[in-house]
Amino acid sequence: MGVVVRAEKLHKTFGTLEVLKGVDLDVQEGERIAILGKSGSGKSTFLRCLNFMEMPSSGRVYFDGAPVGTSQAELCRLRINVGMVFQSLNLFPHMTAMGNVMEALVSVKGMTKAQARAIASEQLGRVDMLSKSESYPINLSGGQQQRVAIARALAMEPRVLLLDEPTSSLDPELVGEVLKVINALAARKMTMVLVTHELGFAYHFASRVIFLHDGRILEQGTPDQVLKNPAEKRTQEFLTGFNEFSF
Amino acid sequence: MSYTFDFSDVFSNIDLLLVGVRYTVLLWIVAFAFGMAVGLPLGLARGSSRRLLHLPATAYVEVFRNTPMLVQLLWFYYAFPTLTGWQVPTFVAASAGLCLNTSAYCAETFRAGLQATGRGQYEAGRALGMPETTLLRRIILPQAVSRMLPAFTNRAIELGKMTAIASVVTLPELMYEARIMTSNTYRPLEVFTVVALIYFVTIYPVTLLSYWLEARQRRSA
Repeated sequence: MGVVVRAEKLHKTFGTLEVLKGVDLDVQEGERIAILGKSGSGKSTFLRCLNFMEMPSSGRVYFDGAPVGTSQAELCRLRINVGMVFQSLNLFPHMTAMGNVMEALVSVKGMTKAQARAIASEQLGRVDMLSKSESYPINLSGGQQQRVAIARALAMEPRVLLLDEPTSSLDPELVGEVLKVINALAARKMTMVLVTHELGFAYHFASRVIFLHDGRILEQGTPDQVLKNPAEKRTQEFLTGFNEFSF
Repeated sequence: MSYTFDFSDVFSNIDLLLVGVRYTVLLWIVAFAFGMAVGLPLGLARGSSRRLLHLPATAYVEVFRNTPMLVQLLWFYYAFPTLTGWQVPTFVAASAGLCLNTSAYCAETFRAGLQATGRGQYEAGRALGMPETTLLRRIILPQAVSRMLPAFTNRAIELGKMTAIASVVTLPELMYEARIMTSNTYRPLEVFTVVALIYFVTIYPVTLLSYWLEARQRRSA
């Protein structure tokens, strides 16, 4: 079990607003990390710094022990290895589901279309979207689109998958099908870092829960430790806010 | 109305006007192709967050959009030989103004179209490890082109008419030939009636093409 991705003293400032105030994290091979925290705590920004969707203001990201530079070549290499699924789905609207999954296999990895199609079919099958492979995103539900987006990310065979609130933009009845797919990945020992508001899912999914508050990691541990017996007052308050409604 | 139309002088010299049309069309094609080719990198630079790219591109675009085309054309016509000591063919001098002016307009269209493509599309491409050029070619431009199409076809039609300005720098295009013919025949009404017709017949197909392109796009959207 090695460290795949390491974040070291990550800071991120937007204008005068300091969103991340020095966050460290080691993501171990096979780990499933759930990052929780209030809106504005910096959890999405932190996740997005791990694959440089946001440029950290300072600090370093390591992949397989080597620091990642900011040249385009290094960023592209990192992003092939560290996949991402977005809250806003972001399928390419001018391509079918199949086209979405094949695209980077051909244009980034240089595969032939036949090779790409074979891999894309397999990935679409795993998220149960093979029957819709020739549909355009506009004709798919949010849940279906997100499953295609997951297949698209996995087709690149990343070592780590980052999931940024993957169910937040979905209608409630579509959340389950996406969580089921993520759960299946967990069963296959995929290394994942998930930012979510689904506490119940985080509890069952995660091998480690991190609570972020005001740009810092306030508390982390097993789901039982953080979600059932939080040590910090702010974590307790955060969980109570949820419990009033959902438990 | 006592005026009697007499087209005989115009028709007996119609070959001069037809030679002019060839220059008009050539100028039109060259300026539009150049404008598109240079407009894309220029539009990218203009939309860039890097000052070193953004500022010069902005200066270029604003100069050409905020000075008269006629002044630009004359400026290049006189600037080439005077400043560079290089006696360029009239066609080059005449097309320089049109080319640069068109590239500035196309740059703005590209910039607006690219910026209107949502941030999520850029991020989705980058997250898959796409280099910026691949991202642009495979993801962003195909989506942006449909938004840009009306602006580009509009510009193409405008440009077709604008080529007439090149007559002031003695490029023997249609308008120039018309003025020569007028001074030789003293038949301006006949000459410009025929010339207007020739312009219409030349430019209208492009207008029809633009309708067809837009209709095709509506069907595919």
